[in-house]
Amino acid sequence: MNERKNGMDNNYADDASFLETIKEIENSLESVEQHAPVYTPNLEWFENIVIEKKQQLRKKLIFDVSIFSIVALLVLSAVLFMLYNIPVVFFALQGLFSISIIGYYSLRFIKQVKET
Amino acid sequence: MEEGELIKSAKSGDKRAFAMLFHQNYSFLVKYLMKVTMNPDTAEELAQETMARCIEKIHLYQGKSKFSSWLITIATNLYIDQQRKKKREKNWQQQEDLYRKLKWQLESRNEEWTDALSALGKIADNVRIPIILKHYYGYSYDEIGEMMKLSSGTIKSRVHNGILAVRKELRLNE
Repeated sequence: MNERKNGMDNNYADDASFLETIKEIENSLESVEQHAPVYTPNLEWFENIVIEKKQQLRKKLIFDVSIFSIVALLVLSAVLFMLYNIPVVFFALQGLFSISIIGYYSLRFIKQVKET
Repeated sequence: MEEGELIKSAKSGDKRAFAMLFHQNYSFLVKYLMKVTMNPDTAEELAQETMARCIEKIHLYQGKSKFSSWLITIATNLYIDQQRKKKREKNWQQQEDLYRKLKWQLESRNEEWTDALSALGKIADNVRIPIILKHYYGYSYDEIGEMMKLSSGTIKSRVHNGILAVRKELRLNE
C-alpha cells in the first residue's frame, strides 16, 4: 500500500515538474517574443519583393513554355518525317509501342492477381 | 482594408495588397522563425523565402486557417526542407554557435538567456517546432500534424519526449 502511495506521489511530482518545465519553456519563448528586436521594413520594400518575384515567375513560365514547345515540335517533326519518308519504321514503332503497353499492363495485372 | 479583402485582391494580382499583407504579418513571422531557428539571420532569410513562396502559391490558400497560420506552415516546411538538405550534424557546439546572436540580442536588452532556451536549442528541430507550436502558439496536435504533414500521434509523442528532454537538461543544469 505504502509502495503504491509512494508511486502515486512520484507521479504527482513528475506531473508537477512536467508542468513546471512547460511553464519555463513558455516564459522563455515569451521573452524572445517581447525582447528580440524585429525591424519591419516599409511597404515599398515589400512591394519590390512582390514585383521581383512576379517577374521571376513570369520569366520561368516563358522558359518552361518555350522548352515544352521546342520539344513538342521536335517530336512532331520526327513523327511526321517517319510517316511520310519511312512509313514502315513508323508503323513498326506504332506496333512495338502498342504491344509494349499491353504487355506492361498485362504483367502488372498478373502480378497483382498473384499477390492477392 | 481587411485581411479577407487584401487576400482577395492579392489573388487577383494586386501587388500593393500583397505588400500590405506581408507588412502586417512580417513581425509575427520573423518572431516565430526566431523561436524555431534560434537565429535572427536565418529567421529573416526564411521570412523572405516564405513570402516568395506565398506569392507563388497564393491560389492554393483557401482561407480555412488564418493567413498567419498559413504563412507559418509554409515557413515551417521551408525550414525543415532546408535542414534536411543541409544534413547538418547536430553538434551541441554548432547549435550553441547558432543561437549566440539571439542570446546576445536578448542579453543586450538586459533579458536573461534562460536554461530552458539553451535546452530548446539543443533538441532536434522536428521536436522543437511542435513544442513551440503547441505550448507557445496554442495549436492543437491535429493542426500541427497538418502543418508538418505528420500524424497527430507522432506530434504528441514528439512534444512529450521533447519536454522530457528539456526537463532533463534543466535538472542537469541545476
